Amino acid sequence: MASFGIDAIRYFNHARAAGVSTADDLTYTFNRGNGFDGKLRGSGHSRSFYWANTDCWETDVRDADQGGDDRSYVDNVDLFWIETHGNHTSDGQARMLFDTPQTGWRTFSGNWQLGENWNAEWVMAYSCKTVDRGNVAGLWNIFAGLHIYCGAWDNMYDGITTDECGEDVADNLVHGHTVSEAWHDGVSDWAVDNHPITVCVGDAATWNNGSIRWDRSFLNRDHLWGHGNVDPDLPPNRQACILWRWTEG
Amino acid sequence: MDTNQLMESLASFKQDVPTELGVLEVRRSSVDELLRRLRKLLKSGGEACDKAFDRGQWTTYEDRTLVRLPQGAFAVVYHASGGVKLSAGLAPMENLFKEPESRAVLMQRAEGFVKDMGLQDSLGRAESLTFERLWQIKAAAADRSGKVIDAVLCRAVGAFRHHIDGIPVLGPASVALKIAGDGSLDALSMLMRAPAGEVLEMAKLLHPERVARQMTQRVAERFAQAKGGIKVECRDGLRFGYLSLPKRKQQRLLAPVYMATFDVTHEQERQGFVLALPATEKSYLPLEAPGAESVVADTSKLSARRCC
Repeated sequence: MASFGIDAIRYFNHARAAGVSTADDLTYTFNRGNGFDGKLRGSGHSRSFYWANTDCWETDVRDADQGGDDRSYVDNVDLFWIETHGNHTSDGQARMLFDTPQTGWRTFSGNWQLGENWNAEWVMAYSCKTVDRGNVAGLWNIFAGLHIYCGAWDNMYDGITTDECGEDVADNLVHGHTVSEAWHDGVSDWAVDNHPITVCVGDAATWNNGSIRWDRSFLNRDHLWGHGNVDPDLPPNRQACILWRWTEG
Repeated sequence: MDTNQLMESLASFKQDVPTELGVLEVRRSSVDELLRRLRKLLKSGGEACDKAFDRGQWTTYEDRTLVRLPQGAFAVVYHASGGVKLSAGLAPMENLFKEPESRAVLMQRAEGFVKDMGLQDSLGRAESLTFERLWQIKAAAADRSGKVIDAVLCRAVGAFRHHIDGIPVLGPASVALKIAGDGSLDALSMLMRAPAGEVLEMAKLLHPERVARQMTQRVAERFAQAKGGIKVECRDGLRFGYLSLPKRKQQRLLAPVYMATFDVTHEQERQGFVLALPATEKSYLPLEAPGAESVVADTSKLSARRCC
């Protein structure tokens, strides 16, 4: 079975007070986080951590080589769910806001290196626009063994019709959907304009001189541990391409 | 934040709103009845997916019944709402479209499934189901040199909206049909809360401009402390209709609401949220539910570290 961790931030009063961001509080962060947590634990998966608000730190995901503590948190679990405000930088890095400067107010994916001799297989970020669809390769460095990054290429909405997204994603995972499909389907109600995207890396055989073997990709093959196939990690020296799948409407 | 512009987007409202509208009781169905309907749906769904769904392993939980079907397919019915999901069990990158398809062709296919599966058959006389939106799931890739391949179309999703007496029932799509490259059905979700028949009361409706003002004020209050320039947009404007809550929630009444979706551009972050307000003086639905707090008791990561 899988181990998972959650960083969920609803309140941003400290970031606003410090003049770091004007972003407003969210409302249904914990409806989604609790739903995700409850469904996974109810199916026998183990929660390693569930940090809320100011207990979520940017060092949770920053690589240990760069002063972070990912080996205790994000890189120490199979699946990581994060909810906060986000965006991307001009060079395609995911950027997400925290409500405490421990040690920075924001995380930048240029400092992540996940799956590197550790556990992380999948990251799910319910956060706006953390993937630049015009420069998805800006995320390449995070795949040091990580299989799939599930995020958004535009906004993700907080509202009474999206409060069950966490449960939906978790239900999909334990019902046997692939990880990629669990994310796309789980965060989409096909009415609110959520913009999911899933990103993975592939080897030379998957790139196949540009005639992609989609059937070989993590997007097509990976399931949550205990609910289907999980492909082996792909170390950076064997990564030949980056692949992404998105929903648009 | 430009409140005038926001007010203008909200007030550019084109739906016809009657002066009053019935508040309706939702038809309640027993779990047995939901399961009977699911069996019927599995029959037509099996034909649409080109698979046999007559055998399955049925497990009823407190909130839902899950049916595990052959070849990785499954179906779920949620007891609180009767909402249904059916998945054919296709892997997401199998059965892709060989060529890009026009929106018209994809919409036509989705409409064909609605008809062939008889999804409108259970609707009452005053109810209808109309096409709302086409979604597409696509994929692309790049190599180390930055060479990007052309996008492939993986799935098309036709979303449909349930109407009662011509009034849309807002909320999650009433029906969403996910179509694979060979034209078969990959997945279906359906959430249609039907009226029991009785109008509980006729409620006088608020004028859209009044609600537009209320929403503008709410948004202005949310960002009153923002000193920097933020941009708030409401691209789709105000929408009016009944509201169906998400599938895991019990709902006794269908009552009229106004909804709007907002996009906020901060200096470094982006934000999206949905506001729903009653279209009546009295509020019949929990539109402003406060949101849960973390299930984890207040802990401090620092003290946890000290302790361990």
